[in-house]
Amino acid sequence: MLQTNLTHIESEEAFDAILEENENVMICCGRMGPMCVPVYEVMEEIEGEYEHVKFADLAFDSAHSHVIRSLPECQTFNGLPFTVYFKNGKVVKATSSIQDMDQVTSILDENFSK
Amino acid sequence: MKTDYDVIIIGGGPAGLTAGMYLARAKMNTLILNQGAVGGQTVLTHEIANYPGVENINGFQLARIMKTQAKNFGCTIKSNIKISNLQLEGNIKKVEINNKNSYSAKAVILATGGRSRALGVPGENDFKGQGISYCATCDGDFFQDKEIIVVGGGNSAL
Repeated sequence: MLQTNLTHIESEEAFDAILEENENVMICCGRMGPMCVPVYEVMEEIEGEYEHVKFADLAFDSAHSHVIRSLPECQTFNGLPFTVYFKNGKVVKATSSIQDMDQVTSILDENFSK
Repeated sequence: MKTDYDVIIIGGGPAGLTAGMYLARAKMNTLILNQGAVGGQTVLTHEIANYPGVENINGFQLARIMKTQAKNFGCTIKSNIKISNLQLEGNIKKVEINNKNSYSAKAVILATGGRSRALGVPGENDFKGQGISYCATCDGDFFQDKEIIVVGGGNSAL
């Protein structure tokens, strides 16, 4: 399990449920590594501000991480974390490697209007 | 929103957080501003085995504890911000973040520490995570049996 204060996705069923129950979802799939931790921290920081978005993480080395790793949008990715943004269950954006606050919020603002 | 503090600390690594803890314990209204993840380069350290009193801990966990301590003592911490302007002259210092919010204090402590350097070449950002990588531990698997170029000659590169 990742050591963050975010919602942890710990099964394929939990992943499906989060997409089912939330219109706007941001999932960061990674490890507790140098490129991943800053993204988790951004997510924790803005979670209160973006109440219309569900923020969650998923351990890259878990058995169920294929739900993110096998997405077509992630096939060219060569850097952790894989961060995927879903609207109504569909991928609207995916990024690879470290992202800063501006990059994350600009994606959220562009794709998930309040 | 509170904008006046006794002390503003720029940098949320171990030095900045420690300064914040001491100031807050001395009843100073303290604001810690940090450009990246709180904990600085500690966050990026896989395992720390030489921190006095802690036998073994990963950097992220240690940074989390420091952050919680500083907050519990009363520090206000704003992370993932950009310092857009600094005015250090006069009795009241001013710090502007993200080109919009401005904070003032009687004193500013600079605890900016260090950070990794990026290549700084055109297209670096576009190919980040798609061929350009900064973390062998995280991304090494993706490049197995592929030709790679290592930029740098320090311990990490070697």
